[in-house]
Amino acid sequence: MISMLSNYYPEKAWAHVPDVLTVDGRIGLITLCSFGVLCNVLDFDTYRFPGQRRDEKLSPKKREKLVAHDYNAMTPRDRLHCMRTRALALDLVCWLDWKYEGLDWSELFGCTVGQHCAALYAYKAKAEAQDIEGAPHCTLKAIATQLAGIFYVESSLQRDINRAIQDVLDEVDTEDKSLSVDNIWDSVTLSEKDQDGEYDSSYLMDIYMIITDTRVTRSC
Amino acid sequence: MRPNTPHAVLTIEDSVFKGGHYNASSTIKDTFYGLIHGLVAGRYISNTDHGPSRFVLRQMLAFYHAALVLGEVERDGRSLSPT
Repeated sequence: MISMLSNYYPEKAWAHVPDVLTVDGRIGLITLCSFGVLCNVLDFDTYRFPGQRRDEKLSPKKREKLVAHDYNAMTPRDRLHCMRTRALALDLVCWLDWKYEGLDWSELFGCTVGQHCAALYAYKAKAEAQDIEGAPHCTLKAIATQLAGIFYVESSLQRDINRAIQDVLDEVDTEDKSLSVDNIWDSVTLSEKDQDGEYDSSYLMDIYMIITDTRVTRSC
Repeated sequence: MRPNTPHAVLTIEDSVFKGGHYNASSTIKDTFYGLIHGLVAGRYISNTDHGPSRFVLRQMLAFYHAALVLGEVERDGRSLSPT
């Protein structure tokens, strides 16, 4: 994509990058990072057995493979792409933390992802209660399973997600559960930190390992 | 038209359509909300699942990472990436 943009629009490529120093720019960037974390959850194929038609009921054996082993219709290539995207999203947040002071990026990202997950859960619960069918074979239970398995259980982000969903379950009325995260982002002025040396992305490999450890093993 | 905007197509006689979509950096938030609405409400609100759009969004994130973190896009727009 970098190549495509810079070949065809060499003077415009940077113009597509959000300006982190504006509130809208950073909310957009963090929202896209949240998408990066949730890209498996938001993919329709996650909820479908390979080859399963819209109205097809699964045999118990296939259901077992889908539910217990997350054996779904996403291609291995797409799943790897999602893992890579998730790692890049986390690395981007770490870089923002390294580069700019004035905001606790990690905490805000945890709140953002948690709020998105909670809103998705509440919204799906409401849709099921009204018999509104969403993505084929995507049930509230399936979404809950996916949301519970994004990261390994002890990670702070997974705890943020679990806590946000638990809050939804504890609330009687979830009418005000919104996807919008604008309210948690203060309009602060950011400044660049004084840093010695370059940003170290070497631990990106550790993130890859964590992700592949939890996701690939579940898909086998 | 912005993403996540309720809309309908109406013609006064049988028609063949050709159209497309694109993702704008300035409306990523609404694109994300639209994806969630699409997943939850499905055919109730839309006639397609826009499968390829999720791949494009993943590529956008990779582009932002390359530009901001890896510095592979210079501010004058010249790419430092060999591919």
